[in-house]
Amino acid sequence: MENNEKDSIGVLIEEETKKRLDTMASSNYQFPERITVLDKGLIIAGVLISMVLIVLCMTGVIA
Amino acid sequence: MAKTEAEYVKQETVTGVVPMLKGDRQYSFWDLFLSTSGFAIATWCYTQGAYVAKYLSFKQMLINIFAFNIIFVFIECIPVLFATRYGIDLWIWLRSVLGKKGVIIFSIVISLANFGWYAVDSQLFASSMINLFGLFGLVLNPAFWKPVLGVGCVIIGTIIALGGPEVIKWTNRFLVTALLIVGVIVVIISLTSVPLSAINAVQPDTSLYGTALGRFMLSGEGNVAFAFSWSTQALVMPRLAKTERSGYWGTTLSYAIVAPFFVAAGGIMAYAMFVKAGYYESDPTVMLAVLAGPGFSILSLLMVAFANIGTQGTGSYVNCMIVKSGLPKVSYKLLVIIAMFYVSLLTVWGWVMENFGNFISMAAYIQGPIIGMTVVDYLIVKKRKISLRSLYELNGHDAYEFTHGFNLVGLSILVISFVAATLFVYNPATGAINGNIFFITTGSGFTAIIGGFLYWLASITPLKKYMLRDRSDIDII
Repeated sequence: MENNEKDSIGVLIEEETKKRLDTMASSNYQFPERITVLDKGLIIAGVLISMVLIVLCMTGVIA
Repeated sequence: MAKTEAEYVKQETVTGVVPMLKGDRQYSFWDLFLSTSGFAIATWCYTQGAYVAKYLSFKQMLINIFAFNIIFVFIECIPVLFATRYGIDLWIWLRSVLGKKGVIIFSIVISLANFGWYAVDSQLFASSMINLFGLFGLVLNPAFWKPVLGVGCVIIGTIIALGGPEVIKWTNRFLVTALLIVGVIVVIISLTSVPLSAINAVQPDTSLYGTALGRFMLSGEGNVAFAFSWSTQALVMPRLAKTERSGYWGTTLSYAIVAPFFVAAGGIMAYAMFVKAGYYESDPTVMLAVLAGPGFSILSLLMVAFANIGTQGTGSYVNCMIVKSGLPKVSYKLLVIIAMFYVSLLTVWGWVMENFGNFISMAAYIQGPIIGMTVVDYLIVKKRKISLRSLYELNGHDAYEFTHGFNLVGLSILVISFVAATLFVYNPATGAINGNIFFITTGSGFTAIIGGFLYWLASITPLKKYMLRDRSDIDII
C-alpha cells in the first residue's frame, strides 16, 4: 500500500514537472530577468581586486 | 485530512523538486539576502575569525578573510543564474554531471557531512549559553546542560524548518536585521576598547608554520574551505528568487560579505582580547564580557541564540532539499525529522566539534571538485544549455542515464581530484602540506581548479560524446 502511495506521488510529480516544462518551452513564457553587463563587471572586478590583494600579502608588500 | 492534489503540488514545488515558474517565486533580493545571511551567520564565524587572527597581522587577516571568500564565493555561485532562471536547484543540474544515481549517493553523503556543521552550531550555542548564565551567577553543569541546550537548539531550528521558506523568510527578516546591528556594535566595542595601534602591533603566533607565506596560505585554506562549505547548499534557495540579479547578489553578498564580516568581527575581538587579557578567545560571550563588561554580554545572547537557531532552521531546510533532489518521493517533513535526530545525535557525541578544522577541510575536498566541474560544465562545456526533460527523466528523455545512472567521467574526476590534492598538495586529515602548489592555490582551491580543468579536458577528448548526449534534446533555452 505504501508503495502504491509512493508510485502515485511519483506520477503526480512527473506530470506536474512535465506541465511546467511545457509552460517554460512555450514562446509566451517570460523567464526571470537576466543579469546585466554591470553585474558581470562587478563579479570580475571583485575577483580581480581580491586576487591582487592576496598577491600583495603573499609577496610581503602588505605585511 | 488528506491533501488535495493542488495542495500537494504546491508543497512539492516549495519544498520539493518540481521546477518553480516565475509566478511561484516568493523571494525578493532582500528576502533572499536576509534568509541566506541568517543561514550564514553563526557562532562558528567567531571561531574561524579567532583562528585566523592568531596567525596573521590585522591587515593580512582582513584581506585573507574577505579576499579568499569573495573569489571563491563569486565563482562558485555563478550557477545560481541557472537555478534562478529555471527554478531548479543545483542538485538537479548535477544529475548531468554525476548521473542520477551519483547524485543520490553524493546528495546523501554531503548532507550527512553538512549536518556536522549544525552539530557544531548547536554545541557552540550550548557553550555560549552556559557561559552567559555563568556571567549572571547561575552555574550550569556542562555535562548535563551542554547536550540539553544543544538538542534544544536543534529542536527549535527544526520547528522553523518545518514551516518551509515562508516561515524562514519572516524569521530571518527580523533576526538578521538584529544580528547585523549587533555585529556592527561588536566591531565598534572591539575597536574602541583597545587602541587600534595596539591591535596593529600584535605579532602573529609563528607556531602554525615557519614562514609568513605558509601561515597566510594555511589561514587561506581555512577561508577557502569556509567558502566551499556553502557551495552545495548555496544553490538551493536562489530558485525562490524573482530575478537572476536578486538570486545571484542575494546569495553571494551573504556568503562573501556578511559571513566574512562576522568572521572578521570574531578576529577583531580576538585581537582586542589578546591586547587586553593576553590570550585569544573565540567565544563572543566571554569576549564581550571582558571587553565591555558583563552587561554587554547580553548582546551575545542575541548573536548566539538568534544566529545559531536561524542557522539550524535554514540549514535543515536546505540540506533536506538536497537529499530530496536525490530522493524526490520522500516527504520533506520526514527528512526534517530524521535530520533532527541525526544532528541531535552528533551534538551529544561531540566528535565533529573536537575535529572542527579537519572536518571542514575534508568536507571541502569533496565539494571542491564538484564546484570546479559545475562551473566549467555550466559556462564552458554545456554553455548554459541543458536538457531539462532529461534531468527529470521524462518519458523518452534519457540523455543523463550515462552508465546505469552514474556519470563515470564526473565521478572519476571527483575521485582523482580528491586523491591528487591529498597526496600532492595538502592532507586535510593531518594538516600536512605535501607540495609547493599549496602556497599558490591552497589545498581546497586546488581540488576545485583541478576538478574543473580535468572536466574541461575530458570534454575535448572522445569522452565528449559520452558527456554531451543531450545536445539534440534541448528545447528550453
